[in-house]
Amino acid sequence: MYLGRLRSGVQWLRDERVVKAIAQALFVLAVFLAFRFFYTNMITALAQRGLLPSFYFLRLTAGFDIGEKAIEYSRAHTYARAFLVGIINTLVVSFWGILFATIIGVIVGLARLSRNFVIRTLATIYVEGLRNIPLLVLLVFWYTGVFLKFPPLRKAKVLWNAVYLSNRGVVIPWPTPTEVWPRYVWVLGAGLVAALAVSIWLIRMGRRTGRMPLVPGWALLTFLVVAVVGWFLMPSAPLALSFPKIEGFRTVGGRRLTPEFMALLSGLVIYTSAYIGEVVRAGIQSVPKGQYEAARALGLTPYQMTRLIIFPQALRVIVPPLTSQYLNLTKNSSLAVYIGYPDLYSVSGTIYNQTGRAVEVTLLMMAVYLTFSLTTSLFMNWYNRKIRFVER
Amino acid sequence: MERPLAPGETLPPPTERITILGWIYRNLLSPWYNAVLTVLGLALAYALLTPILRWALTQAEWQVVVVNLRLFMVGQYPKEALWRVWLLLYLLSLTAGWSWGVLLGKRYATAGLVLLGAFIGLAVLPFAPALRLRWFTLALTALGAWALAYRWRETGWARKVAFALLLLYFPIVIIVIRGFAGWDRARQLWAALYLTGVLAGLVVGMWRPEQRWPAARWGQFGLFLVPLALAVLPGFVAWRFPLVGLAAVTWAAWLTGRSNPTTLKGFARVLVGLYLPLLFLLYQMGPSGILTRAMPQVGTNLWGGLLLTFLLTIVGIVFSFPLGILLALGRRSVMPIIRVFSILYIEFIRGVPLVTVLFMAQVMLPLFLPPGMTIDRVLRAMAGIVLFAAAYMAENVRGGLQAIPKGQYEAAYALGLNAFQTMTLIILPQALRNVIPVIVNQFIALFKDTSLVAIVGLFDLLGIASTVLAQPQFIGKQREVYTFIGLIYWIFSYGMSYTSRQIEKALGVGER
Repeated sequence: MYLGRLRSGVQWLRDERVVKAIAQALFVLAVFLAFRFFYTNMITALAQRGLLPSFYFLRLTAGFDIGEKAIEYSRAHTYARAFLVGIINTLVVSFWGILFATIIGVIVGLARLSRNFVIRTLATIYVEGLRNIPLLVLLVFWYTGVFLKFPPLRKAKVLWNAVYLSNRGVVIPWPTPTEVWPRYVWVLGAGLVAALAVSIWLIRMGRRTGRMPLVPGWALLTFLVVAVVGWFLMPSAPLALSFPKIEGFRTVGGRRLTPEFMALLSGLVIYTSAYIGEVVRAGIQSVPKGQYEAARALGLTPYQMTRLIIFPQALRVIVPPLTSQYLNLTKNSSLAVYIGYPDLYSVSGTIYNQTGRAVEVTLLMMAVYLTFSLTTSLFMNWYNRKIRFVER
Repeated sequence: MERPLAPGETLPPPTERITILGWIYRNLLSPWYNAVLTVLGLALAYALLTPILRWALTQAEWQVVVVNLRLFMVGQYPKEALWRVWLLLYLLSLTAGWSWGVLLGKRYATAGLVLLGAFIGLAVLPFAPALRLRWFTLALTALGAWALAYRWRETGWARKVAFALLLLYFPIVIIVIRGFAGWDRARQLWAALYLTGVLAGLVVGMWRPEQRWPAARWGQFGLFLVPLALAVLPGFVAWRFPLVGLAAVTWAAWLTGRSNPTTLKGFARVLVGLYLPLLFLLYQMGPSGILTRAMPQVGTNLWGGLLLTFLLTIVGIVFSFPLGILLALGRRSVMPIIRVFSILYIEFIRGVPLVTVLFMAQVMLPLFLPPGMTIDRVLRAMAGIVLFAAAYMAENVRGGLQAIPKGQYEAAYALGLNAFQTMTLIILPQALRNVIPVIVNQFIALFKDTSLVAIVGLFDLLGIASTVLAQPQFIGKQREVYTFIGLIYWIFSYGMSYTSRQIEKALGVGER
């Protein structure tokens, strides 16, 4: 009787596949209706303002200046060019930020593990102090509280006779190429080729003998030797350090780093280095004690132990979160807008204010950040596949 | 002196004796490079600390903070409505003290004493006398609530009161801070109808009238079929949406009541008891009602300072949590369309910075709404924060879900639980418990991230700084102001992370 009742009912509704298909169909319908609702509202609102979505405005003249640019740009250029300037500025600050944050972060992470009480405590204060303050507060403090509080240019602070600190920015000595630079570039190219050849040879030899030498180290050394020898073989030095000096109301020579750039860079570096320090510490601590003991039992020297046993295993743990910190730094550089550094977000904001094209600007901006993120995740997936434990 | 060992007895391991000198030698001086590092470290600390301390103690003019304290705390929130903030603080003391007494008892006494000491310490600082009295009474309220709750901790009602306080605190905060706009009669009527619908649906569902009168088997569907039928009638076009909503809410309540009649018995009893008082309160929410006159609406444009920072954080946490769980379940769903949708959403949000999401919420959200409907800046920022935080929450929850062994699903299936019961009763409790530390860390990050609303022009704790710094007598006091703001953020973030670490240790989370 029980079975009979089940059969007579709407049995096909009890089929899991049918239920799932219906659920998904309903979901798609709901999402579609929601999107259509939003889209029609948006088009109506935009049509009223005469701003129907189109990317044509990118070809129009921007008409605003950008304080910092790595490529040629003036107010006569197009919006598309302004956008590009923003992207490049974001990349520039992210590059230097990642470089310095990694260096400081590794030092902090190692210091956190030091047996020395003073060093350990200092590193702990650094990490705990910085991780609990919003980055934006840090940035504004650096900008308004430090870099804008430097004396005016006439009374600029001079460090080692080379670095000028003033409220107009920091001027540092900077190498400028001389007339033999184009020839020297060939030397550098030759150095790269030599380094590549040496690495290939070393790897072959390592495979044959079973003792892999420190390939990157030897490659770097080869490149440096070629570069240095080439430098002295040139008729004159290919690069000349240009030192800044004050002339009237401005500095001449060297390279001027604006207060905005310096504040953004130092804020990002300090903030991210605290996180990187934790990543490095966790990575090193993740290597089990037994690995150290086993390495010592095998009679490895401390250097061999670090290079062959500890470092490869720690790196496996460190690299994924480290990459996500790099990505965070890149994304966090969008806070630059609050202190007036013209990064991607800041330039996009200006373009939006001038054209009123909310949808297009948002889409472009997000697309660029998404590209950064997706590229990073692609690298991460490749790396994770490469270093995965190969088990029998 | 030493007595001979009994057979089978073993000596305890030798204790390590560390003298002060030995500790110094081992930790600071040996081997030789450690001594160098020690000296360098001390020199660095000295070089950094002296100028900072000299500035903080002699050169800095903290007057800017003292004068503008109210601005930093509540922004432009009207002075005559400030008592509501204090009321909520007292309620917070009460809730914290009571739930501590019931749920924790005498555990973590040190942490509790530190918190109490902090308030009493504030009462000692040179604030205005009335303010100091308030700090003191706040501490007393918490202590009193703790003592009473500790006395009655074994009783069932004390536990229920604790959970009710914890659950209701957030809605109460929003209602009290916002106040009452003075609803017109139509709105009050609709609210009353919804309340009645929920109650009727719940009670009828639990009661199962068809067991007594077979005729009621289909008759009870009238509860939600009548509003649906009305919605279809041409005369009711204007009320179509509210009527469908009423039917949906009633139906949901009916289903809930029907599926767990025993567990909801107490809850339903309380709701029935509160029905008339709630109707009375609803009536007083009218334009000339007592509630509206006592707590007139304070527009969100006047919310500011630390108050706004907290509200943004709480809204972000409360709403992103369920949304994140749904997204995490969606990402692990066997249904491909739902899975792909969740993955796209999560990866998209995680790939862009929060400011761009806030930007989108500020400039694109108004475009999405039907003409004539507006949404204010604070709500837009809240929407952006919730949408952003949900994606990260989803990834955290997914981490917890992935750690649940397949056997748990199979065991639940074997016991005859359906998919919903398996999730809510078996899987989610374990998964969420495992990721408590990660979730707390995300809440701390969210608290810090709310400072980004300053970029889109809100006056939160950071945004209000520009107002303060624009005052002519305090121009150029950026260091003082931002140091103070940074300190406030630091105290709360560090407090949260410290507490969570202690709780983790006590619970042994992550060790299993």
